Amino acid sequence: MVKFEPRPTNPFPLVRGSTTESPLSAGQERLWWLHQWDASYEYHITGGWRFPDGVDRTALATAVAGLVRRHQILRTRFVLRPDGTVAQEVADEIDVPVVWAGSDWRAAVDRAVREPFDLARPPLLRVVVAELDDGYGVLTSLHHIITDRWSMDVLARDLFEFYEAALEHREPRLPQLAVQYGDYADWQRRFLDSSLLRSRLDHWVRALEGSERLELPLDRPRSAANDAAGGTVVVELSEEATAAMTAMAWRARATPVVVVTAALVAGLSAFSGQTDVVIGAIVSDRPRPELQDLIGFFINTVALRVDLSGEPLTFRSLVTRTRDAWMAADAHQDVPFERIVGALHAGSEPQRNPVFDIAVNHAGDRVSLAEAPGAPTWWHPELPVTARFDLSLTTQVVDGRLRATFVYRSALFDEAPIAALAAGYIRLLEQGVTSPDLPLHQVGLVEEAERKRLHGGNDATPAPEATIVERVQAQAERSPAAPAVVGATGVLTYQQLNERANRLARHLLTRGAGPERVVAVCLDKTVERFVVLLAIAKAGAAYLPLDPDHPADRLRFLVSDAGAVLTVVSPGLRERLPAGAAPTLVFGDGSLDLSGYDAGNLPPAAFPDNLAYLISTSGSTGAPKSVAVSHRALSRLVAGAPRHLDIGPGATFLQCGPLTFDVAVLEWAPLAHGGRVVVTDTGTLLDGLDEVVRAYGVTTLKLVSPQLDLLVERDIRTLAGLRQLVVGGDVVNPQSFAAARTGLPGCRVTASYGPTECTVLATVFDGGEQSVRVPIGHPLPHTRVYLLDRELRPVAVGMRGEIHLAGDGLARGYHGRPGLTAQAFVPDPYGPPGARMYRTGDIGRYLPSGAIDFLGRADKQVKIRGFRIEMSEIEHALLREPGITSAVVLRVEQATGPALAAYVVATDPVDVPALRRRLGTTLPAYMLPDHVIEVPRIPLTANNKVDRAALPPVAADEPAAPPTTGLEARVVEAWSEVLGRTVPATADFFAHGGHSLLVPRATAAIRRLLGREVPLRLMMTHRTPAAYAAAILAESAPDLGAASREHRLEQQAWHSRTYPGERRLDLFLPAGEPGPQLRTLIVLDGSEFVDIMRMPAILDRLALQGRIPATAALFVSPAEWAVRNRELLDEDFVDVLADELVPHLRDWLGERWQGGRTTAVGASLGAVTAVRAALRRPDCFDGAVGLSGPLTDHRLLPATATEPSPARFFLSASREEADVMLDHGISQLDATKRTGEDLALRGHDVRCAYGDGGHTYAAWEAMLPQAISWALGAERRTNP
Amino acid sequence: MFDDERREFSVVVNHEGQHSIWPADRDIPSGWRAEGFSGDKAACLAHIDRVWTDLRPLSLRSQMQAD
Repeated sequence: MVKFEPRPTNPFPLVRGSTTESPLSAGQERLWWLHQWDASYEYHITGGWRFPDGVDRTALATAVAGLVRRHQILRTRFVLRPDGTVAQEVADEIDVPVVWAGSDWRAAVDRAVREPFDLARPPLLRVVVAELDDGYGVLTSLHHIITDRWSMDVLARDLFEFYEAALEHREPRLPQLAVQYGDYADWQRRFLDSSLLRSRLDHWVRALEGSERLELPLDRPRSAANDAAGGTVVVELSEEATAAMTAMAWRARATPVVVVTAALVAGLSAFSGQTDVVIGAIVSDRPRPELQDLIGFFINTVALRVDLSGEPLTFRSLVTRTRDAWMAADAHQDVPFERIVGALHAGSEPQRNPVFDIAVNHAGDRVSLAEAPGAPTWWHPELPVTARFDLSLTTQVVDGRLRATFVYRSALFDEAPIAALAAGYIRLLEQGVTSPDLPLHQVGLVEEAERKRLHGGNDATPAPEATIVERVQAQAERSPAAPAVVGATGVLTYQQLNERANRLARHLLTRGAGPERVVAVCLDKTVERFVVLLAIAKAGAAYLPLDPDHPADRLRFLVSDAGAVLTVVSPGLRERLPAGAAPTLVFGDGSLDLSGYDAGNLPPAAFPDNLAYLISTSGSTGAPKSVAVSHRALSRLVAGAPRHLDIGPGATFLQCGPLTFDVAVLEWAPLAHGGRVVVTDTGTLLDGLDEVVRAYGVTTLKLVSPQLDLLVERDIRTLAGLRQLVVGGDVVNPQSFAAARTGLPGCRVTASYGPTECTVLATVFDGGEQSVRVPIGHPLPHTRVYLLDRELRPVAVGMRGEIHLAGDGLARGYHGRPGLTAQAFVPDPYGPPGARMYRTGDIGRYLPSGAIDFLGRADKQVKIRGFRIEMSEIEHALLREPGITSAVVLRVEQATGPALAAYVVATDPVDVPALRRRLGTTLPAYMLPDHVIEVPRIPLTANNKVDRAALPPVAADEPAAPPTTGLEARVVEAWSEVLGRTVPATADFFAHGGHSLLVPRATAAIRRLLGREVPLRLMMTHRTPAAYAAAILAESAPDLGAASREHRLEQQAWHSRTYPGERRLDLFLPAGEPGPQLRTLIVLDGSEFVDIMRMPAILDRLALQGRIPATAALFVSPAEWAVRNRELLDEDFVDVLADELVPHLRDWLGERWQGGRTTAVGASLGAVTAVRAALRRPDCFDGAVGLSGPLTDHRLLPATATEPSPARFFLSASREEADVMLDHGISQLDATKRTGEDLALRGHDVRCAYGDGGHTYAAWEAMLPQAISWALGAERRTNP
Repeated sequence: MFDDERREFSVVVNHEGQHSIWPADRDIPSGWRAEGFSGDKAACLAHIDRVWTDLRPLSLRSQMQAD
């Protein structure tokens, strides 16, 4: 047995404190945060009781008041302090009104339950009394932050005792409360703040590192909107099994909760197909006896990770593994969950619980309410179900039977899949506790009756043996004059087709064709091609289509790999064939004289199991492989086709793929049933398809999904007149599908699915129940479809399973590749003895009706940054975007690790940031494509698979961008400090170790910096410093004041001659006509003074108040934030200001320029430059304003100090900057003082000022009015 | 299951002489028998490549022979 560290004991004393203020407990902190994000009723806890004999008004009021007096937590408010910490404060008294709702109580109850609480304004407890048909009901509704389930029992006990006591006019008899909740929170906080838990955190990081999200297939995409509405499914275990469960638990040195968790883990593993399962467990934790009688939030959430991989696992061994996970979690539960989230960098999805979405909660078998005679009983009015997790399981033993309640988010799941999961869970639990040593894979998750229902569409009957040859011959006999094939080169009737094929077949026999022989074909899209294909079949041989556009080497390989005896080629394509690959026969230009051959039917040459054709597909190993298909399999396709396809007499069929693409095989179906096939070159882009459809009277059109997208984009209505449209390909764009249905009234729109290995079609969807995707529907006749989990067990409704296909439609295998065949075609344990099934590698699930929903390729499931990602899910999301007609998402490898690249075809240019934002509303952050690349069309291989090699490569990752503005730099600084690591300006806070509880602290830093309110949630929506800074600026814009409103702020881009880069200049002009005394300022770090400190508005105000003369200000921003420091500290920079910028200002002002000198303004390093400018270039500057400048760190005077003309200096620092140390141990405050004294000694006019607020924009903004009016003051000296 | 490269498989054959693989620790589905070879997946597939030289179903082989 694994040895565990025991849970550490909190060594601090748990004592009654004297203050009314305490920190929040770790659990409360999380609830407080969730409330800031979304104050819904999700975290309301209710308790209701029946009072059959009525309720005494006064006694109840007294009881409620007594309860509130007894429990401080019921009088507590939760406040955010300026430093970003949250505190709970106890009020002396608080009035909790009791609402008497009478018999019409529904609305009052709803209000009590649903109305959000304001956590800063207690009471967080509501009481409603309802008049029921049989007595009275009292309902309490509390915010979770002050209670939990256990507490509700305490609350009931105390309330009833207070009530009884009031009725009996006596003192209540209740145990003394040694401590209050705040004392507990204090006690816990001391423990958390000590270093005692550090190793425990390391444990969690180790335990959860590299874990995968458990991803159940969703019925609806996850959306950014938080919707807590829930649904419930309840299942029960028999009394017998419940007893067995308890017995088993004790034998395994575990508790029943471990056993119920083990069964849940097994069920989730089966449903998700994942073997690494992480779920949450809700643990009620009152570690000291003093806490037993308190009301409050005493809940820990821990993560349980159970590994189900390895040798065949029995339920017993799973229970052991689960027990070990529980014990480890229990021993480490003191580490607040949020700290684990931060350490794992797992909190990057705002609307998803970090680490896990599914939780288990075992309420045990505690029968809680006092059982004294006459005591009230529970009252459960019908209340909305709230789901705090995607799915949670609460188990409880009631009357000896285990009751399992599954609560799910209705926004994500339908009831049916959850009901199936619940049923599977009970089966697992039942079988597990009764036969614990049975390997889990032998436990069926689906009841036999349900399995039969889901497999009800499977058809195990053999396909008719009549080959395609016999069928076409029969049609030729029945309706010889009916057109069989029509095209640009003419029409062939059934008789013509048959007779010409007979003649050619006889010739082919002379050229070596025969059963099990392969004849390659490279044919034009003319009616002749059917003569050739039919002739090959009549000769008993198999055809292998070649794509004339393929490279010669590939064609040569295919021909020799198939051992083709002959290649039949259309005259125009002869040159495309590689020389010497096989003997060739040119057919179609009339040069071959077949008149000597008999036109009558040949004796049947092929048995049903002889090969009919080969289709080559690209192999995963690089070399193409050919799927070998027998006549029997082809018969399966054509025999069952009329049930789903409109292809009989009178129908005209067209498909738009090349012969090398297996959809072309479908053309045999109309020929076998007396319909007509159109053969014409529609081109890859289907230009003029509408004309083809009209000209030939096409009734039945088969497309692959990218083709449908293309047509919908153009206008599907041009295809009016179609009777049926069949769309194949696994991911059919639901928008296009719907567009086809509405755009083609009267036309049946069908989706189909099938790999080449199952002869073109395996399933069809003809309508009916649809999910957010287009389902692939039900099996074709003579076809069996199984959805199997990784243990090859049939899956239940909603469960993810690999699609397996069986029946006569299966190909023989891969031509000449026994190993590959054996691997893909495996024994079918559910079919007739000896049957095979084909593993498609596709993932699907059953909809409740039994229709199959295609979820994606198994190999398209990739793991990026620990998340299992289904590419098709992203593709589906992209396809839901208006304007996007096709999309393929691939995993790409980059220097920084794997990334997601989305290739999209769009009708309009894609605005990538906007697209990502919109995708972000339905996709989790980790599923957002890192790159979105527009392509004119998705390149496909010959077999209509995405041609990865033909897609443009993804640009290399850009290096982490440095901040581009001062504000960004300050946000970077603040966030980095909170996180304890450097955050790049474009990095997501939450992907860099940030979690929700750090948001108040990070926000507080910014609030202080700016000196104004910044909403907490801004960080959730703007998660990078760059975005955050931009959002702050956007919010400040309206505050710029009159200056910008009246367009007195002009902006220019300007290039210095000396320094590189384009920089932003803002010119502020004072209101009204300029007087002769127009003064000028040059302000460094201009954008910060304009955008953040709102200096133009300050200038406006000062002028209005007459405190300064009319003043123009030129704000100059650095070209790039990255070089700003170097630039400001460059001693020559003041010359750029004097020799380039001042003349530029002069030109800009034109007639307004009044001559004279200007004043430099700067903060921080800008202050150094400003002071330098006045000291070194007195010809241009007569003064400076320097705010919080590290002045003593830098040389201010010129090297050769001639005594300058006296200037006017305003220097300031914040008193808090006494703590900011510069070089030589001088504080920022002292540096200002010293420099001031020094300058005064040299004869300058100096004022030093000391304010508050630290090294922040807020402090500078507050200082500006005083600074500017001094620098420009009326008492200023006249210019010399 | 079939994608587990380390798992032990048996080579199995059905009445048509078609070869495949099946996890060694699982009951072989009816109509199939163990061919005798077992090993990891790659070994089994290599063995099948050697021994299953004619992919035609047995019944077809006899039909064609009789023909």
